[in-house]
Amino acid sequence: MTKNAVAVIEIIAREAKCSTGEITLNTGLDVLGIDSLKAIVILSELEDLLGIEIPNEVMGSINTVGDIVAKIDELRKKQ
Amino acid sequence: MTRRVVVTGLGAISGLGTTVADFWSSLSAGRSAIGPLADIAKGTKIAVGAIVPNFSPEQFFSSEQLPLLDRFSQFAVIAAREALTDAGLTVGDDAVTRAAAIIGTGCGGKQTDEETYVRLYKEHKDRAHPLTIPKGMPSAAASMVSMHLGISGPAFSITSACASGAHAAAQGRLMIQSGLVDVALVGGADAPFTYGLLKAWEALRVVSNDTCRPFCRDRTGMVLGEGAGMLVLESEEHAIRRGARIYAELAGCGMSSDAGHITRPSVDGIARAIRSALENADLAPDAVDYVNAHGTATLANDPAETAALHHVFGSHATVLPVSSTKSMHGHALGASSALELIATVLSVHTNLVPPTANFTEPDESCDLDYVPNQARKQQVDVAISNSFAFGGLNAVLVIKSFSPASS
Repeated sequence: MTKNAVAVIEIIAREAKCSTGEITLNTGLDVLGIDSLKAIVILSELEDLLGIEIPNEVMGSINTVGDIVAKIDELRKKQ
Repeated sequence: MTRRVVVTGLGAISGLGTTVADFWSSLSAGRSAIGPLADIAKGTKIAVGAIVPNFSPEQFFSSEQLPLLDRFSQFAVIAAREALTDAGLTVGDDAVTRAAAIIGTGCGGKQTDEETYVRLYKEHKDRAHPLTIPKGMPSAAASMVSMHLGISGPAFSITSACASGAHAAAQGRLMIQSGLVDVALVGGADAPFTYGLLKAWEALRVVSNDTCRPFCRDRTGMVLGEGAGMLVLESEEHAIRRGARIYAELAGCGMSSDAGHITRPSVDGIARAIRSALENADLAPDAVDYVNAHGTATLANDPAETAALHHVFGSHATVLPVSSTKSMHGHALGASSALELIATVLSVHTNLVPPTANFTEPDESCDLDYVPNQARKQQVDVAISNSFAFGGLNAVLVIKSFSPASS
């Protein structure tokens, strides 16, 4: 698993109050009880941790853990 | 028999100007106040807003008065003065002295608070300014309105985020109906363009960097505004006895809570507020001629509000004009619901439905008549004004064209 994926899963596990072992890239955010407000909190933590800026437009297209990882990969490549 | 409550005075300061005339003239023309922000938003990602244009507090207040007035209090007093004059009342009149003043606000004296925090946390000064508390406290606007207008009846602030002004009007109506007062000055004021608050809104990811396009497929969020809206409410007998010009009747109010999510609205909560407002006004849904929507243009609000309107109005929803004036004055938080109530009153008074400005094409889940871009002349005898705040605090007010009780 990539470093980005590990970081994303750790933060999501903390917000969802579950173990990282329960999360895969295909896991739906809704299944983890992560609504749009919790997603915003997760994105904010990722921004702080990774020193990136995640644009608001992302909000409409993140449904799985893998969607978030893909977005982080894309943003970090541009850095 | 319950006392009827009427609207006899209006006052507004917003991105559309410093008077009700400016406000309504722009709404009638479908002209939006939303534009690029300059220094006020420096260091934030908030790119657009609806700021009061060319505002110079010195034009409204003396150098002795200004040190005690946060920007939100300045707006409150300016709009309150206009409403009072518009109602044909003067400071010192018995009707004014015994009136209530109920001023809604979402964020209170943010400008004062943030100046203090900069001083303490950033500049490491040892002392706050001594006027920080009386100037910045959320009730400051209510106190200032009471002091500047000589109102000695019940006076306080109400805070319920975006519904603050509407809840203030509902409270004023209840007080008049109960006989506690004959006159109530009600409304809301907010001045949210401060660095810290803008950063907070930025973090919530609901603010657009384009413009406010309620109910549109390409909407990208809400746009902040500032200002104050104030209304003079009176008992019908009191207004008629003194020969007041009556704009309309505040015929009903409905209040509900979602008891759900802190930001996402509930269709059921919204529908309950609308239904209870109509029941309170003793009106059937198909009596409504116009809905002034909450219409923030956030991803969450617009479909939820549309669905609730379908639930309440049934087949009547397909012919009911629904517009969001936030597209023009922005989302002025606690002031917005008061500004929208003023727009609703004037809609009934002039038989003109203001449009939803900046309209492109409707979202697939938004299928009502949103009065795109152009105001519409039509008979408006009954209109409702919707306000659905964060945390599920809902208020709906019913405005009805006035006919004297004896008829």
